[in-house]
Amino acid sequence: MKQIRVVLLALVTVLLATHVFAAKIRHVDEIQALPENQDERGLWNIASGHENNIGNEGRIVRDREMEAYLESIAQRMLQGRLDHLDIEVDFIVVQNNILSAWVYPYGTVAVNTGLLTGMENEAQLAAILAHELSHFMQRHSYRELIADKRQSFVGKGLGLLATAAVASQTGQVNTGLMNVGGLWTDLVTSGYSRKNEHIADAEGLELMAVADYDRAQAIKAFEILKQNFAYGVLSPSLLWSSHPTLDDRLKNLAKAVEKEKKSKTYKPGKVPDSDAYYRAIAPAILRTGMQDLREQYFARARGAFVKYAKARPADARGHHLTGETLRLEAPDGPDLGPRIAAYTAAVETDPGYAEAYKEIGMAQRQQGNADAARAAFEKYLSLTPEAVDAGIIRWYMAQM
Amino acid sequence: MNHRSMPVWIVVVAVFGLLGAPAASAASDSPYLIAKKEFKNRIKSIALSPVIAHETLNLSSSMQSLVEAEASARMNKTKLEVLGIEPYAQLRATMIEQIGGLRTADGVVDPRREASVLDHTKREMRHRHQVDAFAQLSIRVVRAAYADDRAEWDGIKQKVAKSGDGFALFGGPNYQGTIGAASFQLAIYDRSDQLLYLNRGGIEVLQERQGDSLVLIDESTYLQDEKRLKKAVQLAFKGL
Repeated sequence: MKQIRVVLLALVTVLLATHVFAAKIRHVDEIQALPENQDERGLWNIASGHENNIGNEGRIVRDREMEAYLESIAQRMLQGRLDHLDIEVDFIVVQNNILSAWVYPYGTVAVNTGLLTGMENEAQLAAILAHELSHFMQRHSYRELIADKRQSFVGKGLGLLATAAVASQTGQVNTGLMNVGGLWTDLVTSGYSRKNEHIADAEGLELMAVADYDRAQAIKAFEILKQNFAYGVLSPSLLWSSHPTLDDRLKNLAKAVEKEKKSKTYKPGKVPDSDAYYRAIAPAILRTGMQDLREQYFARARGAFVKYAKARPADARGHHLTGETLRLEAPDGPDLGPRIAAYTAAVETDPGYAEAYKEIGMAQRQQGNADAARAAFEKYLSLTPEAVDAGIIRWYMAQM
Repeated sequence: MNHRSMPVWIVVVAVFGLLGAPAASAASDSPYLIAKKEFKNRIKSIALSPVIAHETLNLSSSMQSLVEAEASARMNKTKLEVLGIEPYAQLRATMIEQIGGLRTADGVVDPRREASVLDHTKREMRHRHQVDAFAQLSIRVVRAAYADDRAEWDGIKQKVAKSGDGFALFGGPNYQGTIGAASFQLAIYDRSDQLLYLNRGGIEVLQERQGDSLVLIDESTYLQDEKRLKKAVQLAFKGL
């Protein structure tokens, strides 16, 4: 019994000490500089290692226009709140179809192409970004992983690594056990505590209101995340929507939105036009569709390409790739009409689009329409006489 | 927790430990990329491709015939209706001829031509034959786990030849890493080109150790061992 008492006493002491220390972690509004100390600097280095790994693996979609668009959403919600820290929120778009986003402790927000494509308008995306910005402003990663020394494998590992990272200043710390990127991945995928998720949800709604977005769109955004929960995911923990208690959070958000509506100062926000949103994030939509096509999620790929074709009407790729999803999903047809229509739309958009002519020829040949097939093949060969398969196409024509 | 309950917990952990481990490893070792039951329900007929070997392996026509005969025999033992290698082989030869050969003027295999021949052959096979699936047979260069002058990969183990250790009586350092090797691969795709089954059988190592370096074995000795080739095919078909 005496031993148990000693252990309990020690536990209480540790908990109290942790609580006192944790209480010192303030919102970015209340501090003058970030990072505040060496521990936090270490955490930044670790996170930076993870970001570098993504870059080195070639998974970042570089498109300055799209990044500027994301920055403009953040700026509208922040209204210069970070100016005193000399920190600018910036964005990286990551090639990944999982609907996920996360924030690094130095204010860089990472957004997966799948998340951008999954949202239906700017207000829904703003809801997710606002939530992540709140995690940053509340310094949740520092609070949970360094200051609280969360009693988890991740927390303990990060605590040790933070010190090493400060020494190296490289963001690449090799402990012989795991790399920094792996540790940050664990952090991102394990999510924050329930309490901190609710804090970020609430502050996220406030940020949306500042930028005059309709807060009800946050609920729709969460519902989309929920609908996509099992889509193409090996481990549910890889999803943003797997942060604790998604149903609880949806309920809380709905309550908060309803409560706000009853307030005298309530002003309904705006729901920006979906088409404008799709135009702004078109490169991400194209990437999402191409990944889905590679992974044989044909219906979703087709959805992305149709969206892309609408967003970028002068780019024939949207139509051609729509045709490719139909061809690969059902090579035997039987109805090849929609496939031929998609390829035809591609050549109408860009009369020099040789590949689409070839596919029109292949589909017409498959249906036994020799004249139409021959016409399309001739166009293909006239546009690309040196095509690698020119000989095979001529052989098809000779067989007809 | 009282003293009586503790052994129960130990038993529970031990039982779950014993049951859990083999189940997990069996699942990850399965060559099926869809449920085996679904495969059996969906796939009733299959066409075989000829064996396509990595160009550096110089697969002789006699050994190619041997591997293809073994693969055909194995496939015929399944309940699938089998379209033999000939239609695919003829079509592939035609496509290669129409494209002007797979090699460039420099004698190097052009990956663009290779990809185009594969694509058109598969599409034309689909056009002409109403089979449910296509089996792609190939011999590939792979990396085998290597330690203590032994290699282990794709279901086989092989001692690695060595030289250049002088007269060391107590053995040299224990080298570890990977070593070049050849494997037979069976890949089965449905009509939409979705990969349904993928399995390999190891054939032989392609390197040997000279002192602290791995060097290529004389290329003329590659893929000459009939027993090894047949065994590799058997391993790749195991589970089908």
